[in-house]
Amino acid sequence: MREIVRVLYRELHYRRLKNNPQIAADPKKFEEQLRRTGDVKRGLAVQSAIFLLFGLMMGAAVWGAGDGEKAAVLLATYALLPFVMALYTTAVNSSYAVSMGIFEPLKPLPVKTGAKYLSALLALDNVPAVVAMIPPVIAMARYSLPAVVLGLLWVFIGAFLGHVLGLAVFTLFGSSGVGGRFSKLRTLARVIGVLLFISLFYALNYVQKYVNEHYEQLLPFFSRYSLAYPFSVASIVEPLSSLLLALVYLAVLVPAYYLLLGRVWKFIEAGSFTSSARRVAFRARVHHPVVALFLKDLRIIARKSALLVGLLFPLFLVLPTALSVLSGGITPEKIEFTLLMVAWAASVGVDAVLKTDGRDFDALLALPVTLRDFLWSKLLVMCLVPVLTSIGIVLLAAFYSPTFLAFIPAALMLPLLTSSISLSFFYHDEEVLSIPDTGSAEVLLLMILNGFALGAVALVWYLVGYLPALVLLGVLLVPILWLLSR
Amino acid sequence: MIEVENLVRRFGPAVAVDGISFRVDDGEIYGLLGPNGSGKSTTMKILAGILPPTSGRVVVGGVDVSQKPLRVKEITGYVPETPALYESLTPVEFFNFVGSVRRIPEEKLQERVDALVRAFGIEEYLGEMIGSLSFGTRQKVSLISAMLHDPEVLILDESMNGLDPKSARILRELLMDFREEGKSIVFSTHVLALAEMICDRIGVIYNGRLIAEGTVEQLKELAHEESLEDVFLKLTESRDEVLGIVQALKEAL
Repeated sequence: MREIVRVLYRELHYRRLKNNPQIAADPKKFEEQLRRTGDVKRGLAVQSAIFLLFGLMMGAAVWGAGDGEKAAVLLATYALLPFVMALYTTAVNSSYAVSMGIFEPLKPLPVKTGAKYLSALLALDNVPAVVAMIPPVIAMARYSLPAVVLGLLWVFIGAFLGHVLGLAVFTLFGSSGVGGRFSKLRTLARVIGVLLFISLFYALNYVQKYVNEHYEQLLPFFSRYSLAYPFSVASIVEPLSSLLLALVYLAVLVPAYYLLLGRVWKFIEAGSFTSSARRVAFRARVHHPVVALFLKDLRIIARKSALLVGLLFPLFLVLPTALSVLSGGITPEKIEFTLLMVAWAASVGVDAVLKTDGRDFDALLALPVTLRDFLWSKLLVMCLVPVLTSIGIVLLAAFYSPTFLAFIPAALMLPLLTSSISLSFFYHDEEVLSIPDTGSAEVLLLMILNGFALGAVALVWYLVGYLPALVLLGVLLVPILWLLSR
Repeated sequence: MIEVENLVRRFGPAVAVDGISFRVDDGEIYGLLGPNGSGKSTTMKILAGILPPTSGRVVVGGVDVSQKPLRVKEITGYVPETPALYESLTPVEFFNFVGSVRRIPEEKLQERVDALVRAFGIEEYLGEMIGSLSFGTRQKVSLISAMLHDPEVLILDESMNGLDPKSARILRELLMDFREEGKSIVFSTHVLALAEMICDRIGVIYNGRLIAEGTVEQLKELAHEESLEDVFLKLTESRDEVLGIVQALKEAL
């Protein structure tokens, strides 16, 4: 099992690197990258080290809570991390791993449930999030030693729960079946289903926030009757009930896991299918290459629900907070904060946008596509959702006061800034078409970089005013867009 | 016209193409034959501007591939061994995408797609996702998309693979027409009878080197053999090996 997973992990990274002609064409660079990313231990160690930094910050907060029950509630909040990470990586990356064809060699072999390898492969991606939880769990030692053991158990359960639900999402919505009269409807249904599914965590998050604010009144109820993860994590201060609850979780999750694994493997074995042949007449429609590339990406994203979720996922990071900010009354400061936040979250979309071509990237290489056209099309795709969201927020605000329409330029330029910084980050020294490796470390670094750029704009906006902030935005955008237009 | 001079392509320590030189004139079909892993596909990718050469000079339609690979892609139609297509698009969307990227005028695109789609008989699959099509139909989509812009040069890497006899015949006739129009065609195949039938000249690649070149008759004369298959096996030093393997298999089974 371990050997097969090791081979699959290496194969997945090998194919990703092979998709990148810039790296594939340079044997030395290729070998070096493969050694760095293709090795399970090394890859996980680097990512875990990065996540551990966040873990130490969370650990300090738990240690400093001063009260065991309050620390447990805090830990329960953080326990969303391994859960969401596991759900997201399993739901999104499973389709990606399958579409790269790394399971094809397993299909003709007498393997009963090859999906367990997919499961193990995806579970590896969740290790860093689990590692991040170690410091806050250990910090619980200040209040109770059994809480540390139970905390570890609950972190594991959280990651496992996310993984199992991610497998369910993949089974229900990850079908590659195409065509047929209702294919568009099915795609839409899949996407809405996934988005609603993800929304659940925000509902949980909202409740969690509410509990934090009404901590004193709700604590007895919270600790005694919390059944839903991550609230259940707070039960660690009552070891017996916490252990019993954890066992109930495992009793449900383990059979569900095995059931889903069987289904996932059947799904992988079946491959894609054509529902019915439809006669369609060809009608030539020629666009500018940038528009053609943009439309191509949109079509692919719309048909691969996992990619669509990846593109929309940043919104889900932002919208609940944005809505809660705006629900308290609309002010220019709140709109400004929301626009900055939407633009910042747009950075995360780079991963889905650059994964759009996947293994079909070779199709592009035979065509006379310039790097400039390619990057501009990616920029348009990346900006689309955050720009529409930002404009939507501004229009919503303008419904109350038309003066907010003045924020439209910022709604356009802020996502353009973060998206263009994101693409420049990955392509600043590229000269030919390529797909960079967008690992979590790179995306994290990118978010910090975009945070600095947006911080500068926000500072000017707060201290000097809106118009100077727009000027600064323009000044920042010009060289970056020039870099992309080379 | 295609001119290849002392072409070398390395992948780390491995040498995939080791100093080969050949020339394909306008109105000529040049067959590249060789065993698997001999360097044919690498050579063809370099000719199509997809892969840069390590050293040597390659000029396609008067354009140096090292200096202007994009221009080479503009004048070249390339069909890879395994169809490289966007599987989430339908053939209609893919042809429109290729037409847009290649800046083909709408009327011309309509005309060429209609003609080629009819010729290869894929009308009923135009609305299906490419990923759901059979290998042969995908190969046809790949062939059509490579011919949409009426390229000066065609590079076909085992493009007959997966084609039904009717489509294979149509492709053969099309290639003959292209030759008449003065296009240069590089064609690789493992079906030696086909190479014998349509290629004006043949180059045999073995271990990254061009070990023989000429018309079918010249090659037969050179190797003192009656058939192209025997010529091929002799030149690639495989005949004794093949006989030995067959004997060993007979004993083992």
